[in-house]
Amino acid sequence: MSFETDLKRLETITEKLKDENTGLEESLKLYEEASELSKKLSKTLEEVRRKVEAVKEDGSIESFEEK
Amino acid sequence: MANENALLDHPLQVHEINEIIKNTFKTQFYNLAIEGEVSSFKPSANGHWYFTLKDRESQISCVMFHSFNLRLGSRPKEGDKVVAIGSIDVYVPRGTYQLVVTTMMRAGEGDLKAQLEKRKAYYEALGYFDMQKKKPIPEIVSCIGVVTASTGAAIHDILDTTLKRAPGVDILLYPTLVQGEGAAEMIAARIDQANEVPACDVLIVGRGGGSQEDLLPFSEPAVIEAIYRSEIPVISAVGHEIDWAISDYVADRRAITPTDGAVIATEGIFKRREELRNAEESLVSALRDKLMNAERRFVDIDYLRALVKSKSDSIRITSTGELYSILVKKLSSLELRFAYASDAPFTLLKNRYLRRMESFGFAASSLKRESLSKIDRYPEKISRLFEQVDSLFSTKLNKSSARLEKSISSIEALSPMNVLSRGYAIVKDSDGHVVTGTENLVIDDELDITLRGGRIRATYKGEMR
Repeated sequence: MSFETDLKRLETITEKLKDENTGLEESLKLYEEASELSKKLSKTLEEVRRKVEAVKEDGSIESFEEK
Repeated sequence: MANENALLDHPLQVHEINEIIKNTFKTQFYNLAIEGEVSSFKPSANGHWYFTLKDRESQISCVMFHSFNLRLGSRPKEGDKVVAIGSIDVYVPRGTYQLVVTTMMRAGEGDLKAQLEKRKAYYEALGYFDMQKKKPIPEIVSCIGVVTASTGAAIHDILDTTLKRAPGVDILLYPTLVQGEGAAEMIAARIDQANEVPACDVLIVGRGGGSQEDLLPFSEPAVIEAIYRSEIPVISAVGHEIDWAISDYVADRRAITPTDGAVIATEGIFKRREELRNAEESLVSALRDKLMNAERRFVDIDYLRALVKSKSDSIRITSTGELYSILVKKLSSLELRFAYASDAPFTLLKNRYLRRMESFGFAASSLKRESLSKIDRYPEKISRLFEQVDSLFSTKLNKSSARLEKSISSIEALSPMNVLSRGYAIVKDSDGHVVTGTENLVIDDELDITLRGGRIRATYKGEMR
């Protein structure tokens, strides 16, 4: 699923939680789903460690450390 | 000795000749461009600049007043070759003259500017700057290519800013010279090289601020053309002097600084992180509201039950007829009192609840499942509570009616009618008094006899012996 779809789902769940007719049992299930979703989304956005590399003129790549 | 010049008919006073020279200079020597080397540069306390312009053979005094030198980006240094624009002014009291400078530029700069304008117009005519040819910067980038020097502020700022805004995005640096001879060719080659492999989603091409000469490579045809043919969207990020480098015009986006370039390249990711954070916050607050509301109702119902219980225990039924209205009254006063009293336990609970929320972060499992399902069955609980009250009262009602029946039957046991039914009769005289003996009766007195099944009129005929 794309980020947009997942984010939309998160927002839908929030709307459902705000609805007075949603019972607590259901709310908890929804919340668990939402937590999983938001963890997954955060992971793609933040938790991956980036690579910083430099491309030499001959095209070879070396890791880059700022001096 | 006759002279054709009337001015010389008589000797001139010193101030007269200086004033004449002043006026002549004023009308003849204005808006001059004078090229020379700056020397004896002396700024005064009130911000005016005094200096000398010289070449190998001569020199001229110059002044540039504060209000004019304010507009220059930088102050000239000793030995700088400059072109000063200004007018000659004569200082009458001393008979000296100087150049009053209104603007000044580095020697050759005017040519350079004109040359760059010409180049800009050329590429503009070729359609290099057309808006419809600009490629959008992708919303989501996984790798940002950077064409700049491997040391210095530019790469530092870019690494720093991207790390803060999009920590998962890879950076691929194409180190290059950014000024001096060969810089333009190298920048262009690196842009082309970045396009050879589909590694980068966007390219930042730039450097930190510098003098106009330093920035020149970014206006060279090699760089302009490399940016133009780049398949990868290019952000031009040449420090501080926006729109000076032609790379700003041909690039898909222009940035004021390398930092700004990094901001633009990470905009989509940064926006998503914000959106996600907002979504998470409203999710948590929606759940918290739900839980707080549920827990409040839970406490409400406990409180109500306790009140109803204590009240129903103290009810005394005085008569069967009033039982129902008492029941109704008691219940409605309970509801009223409950409505007034319900705030206090809630405040206590709220504090307790908030602490709990904090200690568990926002993990929903912090509330016990069983108590949650209890709250979920709220309407069921209420009706059961009322059933309980109902049965309490009906027990009381049953007991009372049983007592009532018992007393009715004992009253009935004492009733005279009951005696009559066993064959006894009540005898009354004509005045309606019950006759209990013969002593007050006279022969032929009228008597009224009541039996179970009717009344008889009779006449007293004397006492039985």
